[in-house]
Amino acid sequence: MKRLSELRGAAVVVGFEQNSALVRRLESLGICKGEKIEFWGKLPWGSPLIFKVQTHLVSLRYKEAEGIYVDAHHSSEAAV
Amino acid sequence: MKNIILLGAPNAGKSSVFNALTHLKAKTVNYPGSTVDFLIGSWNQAKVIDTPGIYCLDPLSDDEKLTCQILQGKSPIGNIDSFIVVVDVTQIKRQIALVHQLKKMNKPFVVIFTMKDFIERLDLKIDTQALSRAIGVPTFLVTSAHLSKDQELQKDIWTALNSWPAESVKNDVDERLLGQILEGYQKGLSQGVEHWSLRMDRWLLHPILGVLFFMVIMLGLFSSIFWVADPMIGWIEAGIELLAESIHQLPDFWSKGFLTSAVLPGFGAFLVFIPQIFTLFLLMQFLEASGYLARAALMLDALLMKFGMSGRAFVPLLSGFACAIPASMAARNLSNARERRIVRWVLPLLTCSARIPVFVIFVSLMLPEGSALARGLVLFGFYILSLLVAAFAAWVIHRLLSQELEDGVSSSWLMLDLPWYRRPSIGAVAWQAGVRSWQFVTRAGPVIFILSLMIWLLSSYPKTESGEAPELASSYIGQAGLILDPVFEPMGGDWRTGVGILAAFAAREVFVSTLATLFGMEEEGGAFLETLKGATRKDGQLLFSVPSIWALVIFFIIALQCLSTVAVQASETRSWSFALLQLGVFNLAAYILAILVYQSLSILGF
Repeated sequence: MKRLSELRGAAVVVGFEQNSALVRRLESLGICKGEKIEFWGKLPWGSPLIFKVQTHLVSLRYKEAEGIYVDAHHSSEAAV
Repeated sequence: MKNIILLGAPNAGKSSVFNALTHLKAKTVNYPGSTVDFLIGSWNQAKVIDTPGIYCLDPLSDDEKLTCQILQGKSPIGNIDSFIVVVDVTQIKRQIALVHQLKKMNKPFVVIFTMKDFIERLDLKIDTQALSRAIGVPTFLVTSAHLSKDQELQKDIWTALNSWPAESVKNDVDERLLGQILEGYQKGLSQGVEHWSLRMDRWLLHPILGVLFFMVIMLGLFSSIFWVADPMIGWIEAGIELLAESIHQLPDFWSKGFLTSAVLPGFGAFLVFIPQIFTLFLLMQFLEASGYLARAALMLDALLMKFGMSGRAFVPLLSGFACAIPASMAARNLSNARERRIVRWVLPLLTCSARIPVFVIFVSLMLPEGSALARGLVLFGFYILSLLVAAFAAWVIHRLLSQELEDGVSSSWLMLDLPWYRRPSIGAVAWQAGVRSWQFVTRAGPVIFILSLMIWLLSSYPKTESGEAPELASSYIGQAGLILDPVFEPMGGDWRTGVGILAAFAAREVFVSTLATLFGMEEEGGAFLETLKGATRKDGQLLFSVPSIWALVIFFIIALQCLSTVAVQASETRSWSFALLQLGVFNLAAYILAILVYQSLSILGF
């Protein structure tokens, strides 16, 4: 299990650090537990990070992505 | 009359559906007790209320809170009878979360899936009847641009909203069936999008190339204000000339002098800049509709963070280049109170459309023979200068503001959903740009008329003993100018630029019409720019020399002259002290810096 901010391939979301309205906001953007997520790229100065969830792109700051845990091993079939 | 509320995620196509149903006959309504406004229109025998976009019923920003209040009937609109939920058909899996929550409210509603044309281009199909069964409410698949003309479809939506038994809404979404419907569709969608939207992002969101593209797009945006608008300016000038000739040929009547000496020069000088303002609105709408604005927000996030803002602030900041008033309103989408304060502090420093007529005059005075590109580059330079000033102001206020001014959980987050690139509907984009430009004209028009009248009266009286109009220096305005002369002389101006600057406190663009009225009367028949170039002060020096033009540029970049902006800032921040402090600080700084620039350049021999 690793933090989403460290992801450089594909993984499955397994949990969130905080339990708040932000989690519901993440879920509405498609970042839910069990959802496949793929590192897509990063912008100048290393932030924000961009991830592909389902068919769309979502951006998160590095520190926001740090609060999301993913299981990269669990989803090797989803690797890029 | 029934109340129908239109709900949906940002970029779902809600506004397009609203425009199609109400045929663009909507009015903006300010929500009592708050500063958030929304659109109300009529559709059949119902009031349709367009609301700010929401992802779910857990609001974070003021806009989202308002939407939830309206939804729950806790607003002056009263009880809501039914909803229309707008879902982007390419984002069903995510946006259906809102439908889940709405089903618990026991109200009849329908779901309109937008972007039918988009999936048709990818040769994809989706079974809306099966979707209706899975979701438990009637669903419709539409191309928003065609909905306004499709009366049959509108009738079906209306019938479904009014005849659907509320009991069926109570059932949960059939996840299994929904999953089956979406299985093949999502795969096809993913493959289709991989081909172009994501490929475009490989370039436009590249860490290095993306920045270059961003700069090129912004340079194109601001330079096109000149070359796109040029032909339209020619048409307006020709029209005004024709009108002036027609009036001159008429027999004398009591207001002929007022029309030819005040109204036509005043309005003419203002109207020729409308094409540039329209072009700016048009291109901004185009970028927004294409999906690029969200990318640009990302691009600037790390940079804006150094000034206490986030990438989300880019949209209100860019709107600020059109007008600070809607930009200040757009800032309420920022969930962080501290960031909202910083954005609103710097907004009046950005080169709004009202400054364009003023800056265009300065550019034309600087480069009378310059090409459209050269003049465009100088104007772009003014924009960069205003950005630097705004960045400095943001940095200062970022340092001064208390770190505690945060909104708890929502402080400093970004989390942006990047909409797919779309081919904007040129008609819809042009319509919206036209509406916004017209609002600008109607807001400034009456002010220009009243000020033109006042200036004309003050400069036409007292009459001489023979009943003739006085020399300008002997008129009331000329006499009052003696008081203004010492105030504006240190920055290279005289009483005429002083009157222009003071008149600009009603609206910045009035500066140009005021000069046109003043100089038009002084040298009737002479071209406006030629008259300005040759104008001299009492000491015989050119009124518009290099140092004095730069002093005026600096003054207009920094000064907060738009009193409507002050009022809106007070209302948005709910703090008159904030608005008045801004008014005092910016104008004082503008005056002092303009003097410094004029004096320094004069000493250096320019």
